[in-house]
Amino acid sequence: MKIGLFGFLFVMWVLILAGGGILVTLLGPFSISGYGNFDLLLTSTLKAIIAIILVLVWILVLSKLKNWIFKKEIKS
Amino acid sequence: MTELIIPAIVSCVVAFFTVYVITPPLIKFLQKRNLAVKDMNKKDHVMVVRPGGPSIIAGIIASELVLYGFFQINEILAIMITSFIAFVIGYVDDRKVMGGWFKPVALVIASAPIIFLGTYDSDLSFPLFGTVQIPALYLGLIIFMIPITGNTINSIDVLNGVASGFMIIASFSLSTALFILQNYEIAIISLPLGFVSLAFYKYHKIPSKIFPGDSGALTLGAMYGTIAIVGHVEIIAAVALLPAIINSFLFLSSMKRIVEHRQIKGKPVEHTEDFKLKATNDKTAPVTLVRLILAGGPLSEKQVGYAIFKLAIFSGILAIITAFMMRVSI
Repeated sequence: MKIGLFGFLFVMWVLILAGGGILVTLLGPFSISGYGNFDLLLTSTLKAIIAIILVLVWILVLSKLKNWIFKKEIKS
Repeated sequence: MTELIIPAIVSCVVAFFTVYVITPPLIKFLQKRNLAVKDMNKKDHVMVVRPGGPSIIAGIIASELVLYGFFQINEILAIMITSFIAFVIGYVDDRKVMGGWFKPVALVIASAPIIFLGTYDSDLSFPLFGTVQIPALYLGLIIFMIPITGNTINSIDVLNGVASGFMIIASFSLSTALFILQNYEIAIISLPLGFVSLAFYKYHKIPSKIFPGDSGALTLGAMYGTIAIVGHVEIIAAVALLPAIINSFLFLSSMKRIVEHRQIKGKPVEHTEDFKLKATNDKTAPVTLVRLILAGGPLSEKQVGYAIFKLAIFSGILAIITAFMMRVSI
């Protein structure tokens, strides 16, 4: 086992930290108003959709990284 | 703080010795009933009994009951009930072969006590950046968390001692993080998980005398997930669990669906003549953590186990660094 798996773990960790930053800065102050009782529901739903998109992007980035890191690992 | 020392010591002793004492008679009982499976990674025809789940759940319930005697908080009840439901789900799967969908779907039920007992906070905390309030999304997170942690630990239970050894490292890292965050009550409540795993490791380590089975692995994973939620340390818990998450991620991204190991035709790993483990070139086989560890060449089962433990220690250190970063805000 070379550096590949440790590197992948480290990249995952950095992506979690960065994703958290985006989530807090983007979603933290975000709120919808003007729809009365539906304000909270709409805000929550939109926040959920954005968060899910972020998670999907995270998985996609990891998937590309996985192919890149481990192809190198297997070849070496 | 000092008033918490006695409950902490008593519960840890109870957790450790319940599993340590119960497991040998459980092994004999399972041997008598012929509830054994072949250890696939041994040269000779070695049969190992399973499941060890009953002794694991006994240790968890006994130690958490002791803690409930000291502090009557709903978080302890949530941990006990969720772990017990996960144990029952795992035990059903141990006794009767269920489909690949069964465990993830059934484990959603195990997350119900956390919601009904109100032992969660819908604010999700991130290191450096602070918290974000996501009430609707957080409920979804709870529902997914227990199936994910349960199945993640179950999926790493592929070699002698790996699931219990990995859980020792991950759970003690999580407990350390909780102490760093000064969440002392939950930190103490979390300690029995490490001690239960430690006692079980004595019988599970190579050469295994007992396998945890689905009931044992799901119980450990569900308790870990519940601690993450009730302790508000979801991100730290995910970091400490990263090697196991990588395993599930690699498996799912190569198979593109939820499937039981026994349903897969392609073998990710095979044996050399001296019975070392070796990665295969089978393109139909799933990519797993073990397969990647073996990409560099054949290794013994013990060496692969230690490689996984090294990764677990690395992510445990990252989890503790994350806990320190939680106290910093930019």
